[in-house]
Amino acid sequence: MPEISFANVVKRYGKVVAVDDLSFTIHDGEYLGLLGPSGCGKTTTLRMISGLIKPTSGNILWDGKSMEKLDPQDRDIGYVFQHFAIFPHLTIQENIAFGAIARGLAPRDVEAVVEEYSKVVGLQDKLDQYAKNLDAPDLQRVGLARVLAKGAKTLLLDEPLGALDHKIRERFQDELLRLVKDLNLTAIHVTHDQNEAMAISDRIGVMKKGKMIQVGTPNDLLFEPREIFTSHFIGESDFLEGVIIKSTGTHNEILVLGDSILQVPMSIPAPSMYEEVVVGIRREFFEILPLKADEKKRDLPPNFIHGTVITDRFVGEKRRTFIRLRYGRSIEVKRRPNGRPFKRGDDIKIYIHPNAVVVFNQPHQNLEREMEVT
Amino acid sequence: MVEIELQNVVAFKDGIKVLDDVSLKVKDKEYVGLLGPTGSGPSFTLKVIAGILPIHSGKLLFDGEDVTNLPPEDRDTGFIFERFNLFPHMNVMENVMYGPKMKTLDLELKEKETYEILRMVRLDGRENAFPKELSGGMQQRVGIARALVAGAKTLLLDQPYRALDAKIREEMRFEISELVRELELTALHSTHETEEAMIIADKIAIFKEGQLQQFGDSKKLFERPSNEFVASFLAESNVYEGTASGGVVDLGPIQLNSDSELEGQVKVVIRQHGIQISYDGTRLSETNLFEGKITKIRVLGEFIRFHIVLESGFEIISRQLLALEWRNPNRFLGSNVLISMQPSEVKVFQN
Repeated sequence: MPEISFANVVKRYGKVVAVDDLSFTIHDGEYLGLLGPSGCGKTTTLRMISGLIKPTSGNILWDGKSMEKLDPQDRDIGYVFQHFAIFPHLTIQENIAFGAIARGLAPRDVEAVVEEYSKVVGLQDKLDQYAKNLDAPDLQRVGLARVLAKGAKTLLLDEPLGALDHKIRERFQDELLRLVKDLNLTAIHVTHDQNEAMAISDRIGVMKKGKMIQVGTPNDLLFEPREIFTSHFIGESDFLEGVIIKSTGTHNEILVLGDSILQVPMSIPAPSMYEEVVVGIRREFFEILPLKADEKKRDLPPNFIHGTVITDRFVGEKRRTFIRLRYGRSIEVKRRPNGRPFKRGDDIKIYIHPNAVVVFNQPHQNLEREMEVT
Repeated sequence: MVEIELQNVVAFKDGIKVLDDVSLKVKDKEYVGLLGPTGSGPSFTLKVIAGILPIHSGKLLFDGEDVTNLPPEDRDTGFIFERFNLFPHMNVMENVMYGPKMKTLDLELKEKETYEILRMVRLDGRENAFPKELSGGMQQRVGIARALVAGAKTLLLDQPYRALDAKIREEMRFEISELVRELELTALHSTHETEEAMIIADKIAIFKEGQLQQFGDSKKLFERPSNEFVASFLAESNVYEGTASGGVVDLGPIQLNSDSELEGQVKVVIRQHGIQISYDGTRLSETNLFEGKITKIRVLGEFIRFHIVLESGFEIISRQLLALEWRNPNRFLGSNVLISMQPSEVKVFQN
């Protein structure tokens, strides 16, 4: 039952830095998601845990011991790939047995192990079927059963649900999570899909260009993102540039869009007076209210902003409403599907709750570069 | 001007029936989303229209004219694949002019037209760029430009976003559908994601095991699904069996009011997002109101999922759009709540 710690781990390929000074810990029994755009270093990180590749510098510790001293076989790791790596001409029984045999078990024990883990993944009634005839979810179940039969206590999952349909993916997430928790395994799960990471992980490590940006629970990442990138990558947010114009002991006032004021709780660390900042607001947190006739030309109270509806689309489980603000800016609002419908051209006001606003330092590079996901 | 009609189309692939008596009429300039699990029919429908997959029986009509046996190259359809299929060693201009060159058309005239089309898809000035220098969205526009230069009047988009990272997909979703509308093309677009289909398309056709289940305006389809499969495919759902009588559905431990007039053995679908939760005792409605306890909470991103067990032991899942009140949701674990749902959210189908 290991705890896996990264200490200043760097991985270079020639001049390319794939992983840049990673330090974080995966707790025993934890389901950790590694999330980030293609090329952010998450698969490299997973491969280093597996021992398939070695860090250029820094250490990966298993229960405080350097991993270099552990034989790969002794790490009890099971690697699960997106494309299954199942032997198509073997039956499910033979595929799972392969894992148990690799572990050096006696034939009678192999049988017991196959029975146990085929049951865990729900394939006990299909043991005689050939792998080539299975659908994608069953193939992935075979993959899981095989690494479990091999004795894996730590699962390394590289986009394991990438080949599955959206619908089936959601069901499989529950199945996978239950399996990991029931068997008391540790799991590290690489994905580029934030919804998947959210649904399945105890904590998520968000990576960008080789660096770990933030490790936190889904709640932390949604409500307390520490960087603009996290706020942008996890869910959907809109960003406005502003300047601090007033600071009381408990609140800041931020001027945005030329003449609108947002009152927000003081953040730690507190930005200083006249500092340029970026505010991030989740699209679910905006509130749209009809504009009264006498409010059209008047300044609105703090935390209210004038806007005009561009489109209001019903997209099933929610509505998506595009709003044009002043000065050429626009935002998108996600609302309940039964919320009040609006027409193109409707003048409205947006209410932004003080607690909905996350304040970031103005990035050194421009905002678009900061949010880039390619 | 292209109106596309499939009449009772049956098609096989590797000896397996993949389209089973599909009839569908797409009007000129309509953008239709084809939705369903992988292998259920959307991609095969596109292939039949393009002529890549032969029709076993039934008819395909373009503007009323039978094109069932017309070779693919004469159909004026542009097929946009998951991975765009651009030639990596050719620049934008060469990629887009590839079709006319193969057909040895009047290249000088076509080149003029190509510049015009590149301007329309907002790629003017990028004629000499290679695919790897372009973003995913730009590559897709090259694919569309290539189809247009080759004379396509209909675009067939086969899961065009599947190969893209989730975040980029989300940013690009509107781009193609808006472009297609500006260019006034007829488009069919296969996907297995409901929200993608709802965002891009005017109408949605939903498939199961090769059969068309329902076709129509996307909002109507969502609100008035014709069967249990459509209802639960379009949104995460609770599915139960019960008995209906006089507008009331008996699910054993609980009875629910519905808008349905069905009687007898029924299947009941209650969408998770349609179940409201109140944790402060507010009675959100007087009908279909129950007391329960939150037993499990999962933050899913834009939604939070609550498992609720009612006093009777009845289990139900509710999904709530993320809101400030749900910050640190685990504090609600074990809380007593009131749940309610509108009768219109209780969707009843013949079992």
